[in-house]
Amino acid sequence: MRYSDDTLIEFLNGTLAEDDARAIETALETDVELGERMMALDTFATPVREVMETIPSQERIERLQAELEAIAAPAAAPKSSWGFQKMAASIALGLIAGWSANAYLTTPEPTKPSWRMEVANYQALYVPETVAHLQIDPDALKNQFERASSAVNLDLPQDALDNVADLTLARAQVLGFSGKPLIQIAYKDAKGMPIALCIIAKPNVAPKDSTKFEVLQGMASATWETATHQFLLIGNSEQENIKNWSDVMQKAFTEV
Amino acid sequence: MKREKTYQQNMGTALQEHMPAIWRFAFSLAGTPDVADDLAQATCLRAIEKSHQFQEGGALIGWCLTICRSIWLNELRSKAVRNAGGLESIEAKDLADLSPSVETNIFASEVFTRIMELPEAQRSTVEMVYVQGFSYKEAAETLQVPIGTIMSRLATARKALADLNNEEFISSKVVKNEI
Repeated sequence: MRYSDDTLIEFLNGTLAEDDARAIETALETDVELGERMMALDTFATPVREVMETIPSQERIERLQAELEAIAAPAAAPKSSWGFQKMAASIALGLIAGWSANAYLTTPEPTKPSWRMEVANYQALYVPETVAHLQIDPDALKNQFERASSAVNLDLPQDALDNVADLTLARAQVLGFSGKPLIQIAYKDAKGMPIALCIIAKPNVAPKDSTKFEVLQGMASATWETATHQFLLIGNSEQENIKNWSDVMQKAFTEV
Repeated sequence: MKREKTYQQNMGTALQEHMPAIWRFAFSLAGTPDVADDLAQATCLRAIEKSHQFQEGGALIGWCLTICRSIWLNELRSKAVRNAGGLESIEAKDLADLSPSVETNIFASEVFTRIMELPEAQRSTVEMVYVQGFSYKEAAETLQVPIGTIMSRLATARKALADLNNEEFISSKVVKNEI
């Protein structure tokens, strides 16, 4: 049966008699051409599509694609100690457990754990004894910073990072996450508690504007990024301290 | 194992291309950009994990949207609702990449606002049919509802947009602005 355009428009508008509407719905199950005719008659489809296709912004697409690339990379890489399944499971669990949305300062769990959650898991194992014994030898520290700088291809402002109130620089070391180098600059605070600044390179896309403060694995943290790197400061301290230290550190990196 | 990695690599590459479409559908479900980010990434992760289950020759985007909807309904929706008090409403200013034309912006903003005011089920149906170009039948299968429900949701959306005849709407807004 061929329906007139007027009938189909009535159907689209929801004003067609119920029996006729049911007949068209049944026909749509098998009649591809009927569906295409109706789509063509629906004058709202094009303007709605044109408007909705303007989102998301190119910046958002690039950020999401970069994050996806980082997530998918382990699948292509040789099997590492982290493992794709473990990471995927970790992220999935984090997504279920945490919901940051627009939360600021108060988020109990991270929404995008990835490398930050793994760092948090690692840092959670640190106790005051971990850093208490570290002998701070200036020459050794300088060499550690050079290796760390080279690993992530980033100039490290060692002097400024060694001059943060209430923090004593203890060590810089190169770690790894999903086949990519990750550096940890370890401190102890005035109470001897371990604090870590971790840095990892990221795809070169526009950075998020603001610093994100949240609790990871029970520790206060600050996350920020530049066009090329992501930074995480984390430790067993007051969130206010983490914020103040992160301010100093961000400033130090902008002045390199 | 090697074959599975190849599947995952190929899936990762393919998902890059489909990211905007996956995000838009996630946005139609979640209603806020930040939650849509999380939902889109969770969808991609799950698609990579299950890439060996994807049948070659099938419609990847349809498969991904099915995953997206499943994650939303089964894992994230209830948490999003609980946290809704902390979510910001989405306004026209959040529209990015709009045409510089003032008139077009007025119209586009109004269309956007009215779409986002629709209930979640209608938003996602509009997204699938109007924006992604799914047939009514494909949308019904993906959203797991009868075709009649798809048509009913679209009719409701059309009513919400009914007075937005482009030219008339713009001229009324321009006159109003001049006043």
